[in-house]
Amino acid sequence: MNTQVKVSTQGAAFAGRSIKKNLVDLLYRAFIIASGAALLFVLILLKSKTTADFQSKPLVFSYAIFVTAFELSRIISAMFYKNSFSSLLDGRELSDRAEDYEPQAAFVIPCKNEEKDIEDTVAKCFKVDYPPEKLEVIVVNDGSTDGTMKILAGLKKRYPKLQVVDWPENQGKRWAMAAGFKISKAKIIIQMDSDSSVDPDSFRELIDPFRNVRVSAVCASGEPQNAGKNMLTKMQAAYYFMSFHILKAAESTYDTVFCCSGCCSAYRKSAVMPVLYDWLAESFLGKPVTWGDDRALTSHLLKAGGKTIFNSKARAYTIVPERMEKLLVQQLRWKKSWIINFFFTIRFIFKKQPFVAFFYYLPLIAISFLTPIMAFNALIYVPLTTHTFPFYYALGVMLITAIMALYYRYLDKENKYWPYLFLWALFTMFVLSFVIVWAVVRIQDRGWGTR
Amino acid sequence: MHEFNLKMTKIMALVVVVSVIFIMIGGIQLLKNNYYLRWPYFVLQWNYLKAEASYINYKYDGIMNMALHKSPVNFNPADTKNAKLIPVLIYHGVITDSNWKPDGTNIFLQDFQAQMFALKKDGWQTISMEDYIDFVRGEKQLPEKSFLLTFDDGRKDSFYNGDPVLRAVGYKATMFVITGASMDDGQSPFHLSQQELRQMIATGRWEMDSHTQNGHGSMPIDPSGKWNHFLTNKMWLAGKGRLETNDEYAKRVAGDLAGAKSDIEKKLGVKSVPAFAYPYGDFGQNPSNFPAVQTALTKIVSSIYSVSFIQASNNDYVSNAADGSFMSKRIEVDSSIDAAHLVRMLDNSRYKNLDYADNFSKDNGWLEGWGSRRIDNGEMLIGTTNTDDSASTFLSGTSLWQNYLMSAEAAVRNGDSFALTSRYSNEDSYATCDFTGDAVDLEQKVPGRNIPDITARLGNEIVPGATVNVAMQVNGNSASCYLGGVPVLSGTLDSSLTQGGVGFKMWDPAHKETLSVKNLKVSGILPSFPVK
Repeated sequence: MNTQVKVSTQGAAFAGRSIKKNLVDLLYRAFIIASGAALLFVLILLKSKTTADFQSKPLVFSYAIFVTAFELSRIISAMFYKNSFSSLLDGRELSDRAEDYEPQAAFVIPCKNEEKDIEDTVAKCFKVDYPPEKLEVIVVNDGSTDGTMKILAGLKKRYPKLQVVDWPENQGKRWAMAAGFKISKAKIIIQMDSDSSVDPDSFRELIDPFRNVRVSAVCASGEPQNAGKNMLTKMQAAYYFMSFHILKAAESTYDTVFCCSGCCSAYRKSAVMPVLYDWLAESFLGKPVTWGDDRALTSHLLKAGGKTIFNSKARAYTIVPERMEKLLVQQLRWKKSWIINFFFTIRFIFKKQPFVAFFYYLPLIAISFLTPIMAFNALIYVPLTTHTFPFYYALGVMLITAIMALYYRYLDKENKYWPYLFLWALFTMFVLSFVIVWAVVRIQDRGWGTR
Repeated sequence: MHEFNLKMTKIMALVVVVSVIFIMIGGIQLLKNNYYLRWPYFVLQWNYLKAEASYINYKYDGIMNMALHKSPVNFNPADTKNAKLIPVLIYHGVITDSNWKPDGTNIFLQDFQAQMFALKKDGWQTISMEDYIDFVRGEKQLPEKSFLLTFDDGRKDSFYNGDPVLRAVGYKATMFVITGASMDDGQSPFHLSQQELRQMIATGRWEMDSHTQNGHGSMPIDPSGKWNHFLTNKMWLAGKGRLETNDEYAKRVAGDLAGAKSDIEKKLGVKSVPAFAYPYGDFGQNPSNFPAVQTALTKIVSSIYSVSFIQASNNDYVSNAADGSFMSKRIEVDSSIDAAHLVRMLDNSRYKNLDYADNFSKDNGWLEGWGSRRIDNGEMLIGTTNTDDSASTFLSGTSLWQNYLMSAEAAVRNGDSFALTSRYSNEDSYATCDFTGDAVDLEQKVPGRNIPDITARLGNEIVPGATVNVAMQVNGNSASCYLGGVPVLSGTLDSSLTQGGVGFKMWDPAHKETLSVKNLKVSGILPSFPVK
């Protein structure tokens, strides 16, 4: 009897806490939504004050509406992400209804001159929460000239199950990945960068969505491992959160993540193999494409009709650039691969995903190329000719960012890097929006720069 | 089981985004074009509340008394007589900044408010421009104590500060807009925007008339780089090394004035723009490089507008008669005129009936031409000032008088010369009986003409300090001067001196004399018909 009372009090206390927690949560969300509406109103107020009339400057006016609507469309789409994701595993497309869905899985880690990180990366692969007999780890040493191979040999002794492919000559990341795909016997292949790692406890989240037969690839949520290092990495931490939890989530709502991030994504081998050679042979303007392997592979899977999705519960860590020039080189490479991929994607996306093509992909292209023009006009041309500071333009960008930041806070109260989103927005406004122009100019330079 | 439907989600996302786009476009248009959702509107509403509260406080002589008095305290009812003269007031900016120093042009809000409240209490009512024009043309009768309220330049502060007061007392006003400054994109912090002007019209309290398009300013008028008023000078054409021709002048000015009119008609949706106010009140009376500018300018203005407004000069009556004239005078009001003074000024400007008697127990509207003037305990004292070697005063509200006999008791301290003035229209048009110790002159002043005086010799009847009974009679075209009740001189008046009021003059280059006047009586004379 005593025990019963105890239990019921505990239960009541627990229920009380949970009601209180729910109430706080509800209030928090209501506050976020109200703030979002208020910000939208202020945004409209600002635009009404600053935007030219449609009659006098149709391009500027349309752009202003367009870019705001686009950003909001991302948030709105992201709001449906959770429902969309859970429906994947409720629906008719399940192959395996078993609770313990545990297919053979394999890590494929291409590496070149990674003596610093490779040991850690491999060790973490063996720590994941998965039956060891169902797990392969394949490292492809792509012509390293440092001590990488020595370390791998040492690791091989520690982990007899580790498979090492050793290439004396560098073949390129794609070929290394392809080698891993080919030699693996697993159903699911997790591709990882040599400086990435997956959160061992959330590993199953990478595998689980493949129960749905139409899922070809699952993208994990990437977080900078070195987020706290400096201002630049903090900004990137905020950017990664937005990029994965809002932008990729929004894409995932329609089962079409356009780029399953190279830092950690899982692929269904049976979906990859038919497109493997097309993917390997990708070239642009007569030259092979050396980077953008992740985006290209995702596109091939989409073209083949597969679903590519994002799982916010699968967490991976990666190292982000700590210095500005490295960050710029990385961004330049990403932009280039985006441009090259555009010519591939545009040819099938209307047929395969007409809604996504019109609702997201076309607007994205328009904005990517209009933004540098508009930013040049607002940040350089107008200030120079009229001697005014582009105060209202910056304020408009900040307001949209504030709406993003609100949703960011709505998704995760704990993530403390959200204020850096504003810095990132400024950085994007003044620097990154122009990188695409440079990317077009240097499109034929297929080098990696430095990593 | 299928809670999530991808197709429905797509449709929903699309609908939401399309709605967001509509909300944004609609919101932007609404906020851009709708005055109500803008910050200044809330400022205006707040100002309304303050003005209403002040007015209630004023009406009931303190808000605490509102319960005691069921009706406003000491408010004069509207006049039932018809007005023969209508005053027009001109204001510029209405200022709330307490650091502002009175500049002779603008007015503090509290002064403006006090003036409007006081006029309202005294029974004055505003009239529309249309009514005013009909009155001037003699086509409409308006009640006494009607006045036209005008503002120049289309300033934001006149609206945001002035309009709440007008709303409280139920007045309306005319804004003379510089359309080139107001019709642009509305970014001016000083001039009202097109949208604000439309909003003003929508209140029903404001009419819009013309204060030029871009002509409220100066331009080069000679090769040395001197600048002067746009409308009343010929422009120096630096490229051609000469002044404008008459035709070029006419084309430039007419273009500006017609442009202002069409701006108001087209951009504010106003059907008629009958009135024009000369910038700076300059209609060509000031120095100009174009001698015939008055004629040329009046010709252009009158070809475009029905009525024009200038500022009344010191030597002029302040009110306007139903005489069909194209140019009307306005009383310029600023913070130097207190409310009681303004009310007295307007009350005194009303038409005075004949017969008229003035015992100088109070000021009945003696206007200062020049010199000094003081009304004190039954007499009016007139003297020179440091700057004026002579003095002249005339009585407001008498401009329409025609045939009358004016008589008064006069004494000159430390001197023996003074004059009675009759048929005074303005400083260039009147007749006087000049008494100078041993002589009387009938002097006439007529614009552009020199009329010889008529003189009669007297004995030494005017002694310094001694009071004499003097009189002057004007009847038809004859004038007579009287001394001690006896006609001492008669003459014929110039045909231009058909009407005008009474006044006094004195001259004293030595600055030591004072003219004292008591017991003025003016008796009307019925027109005499020739007897056969």
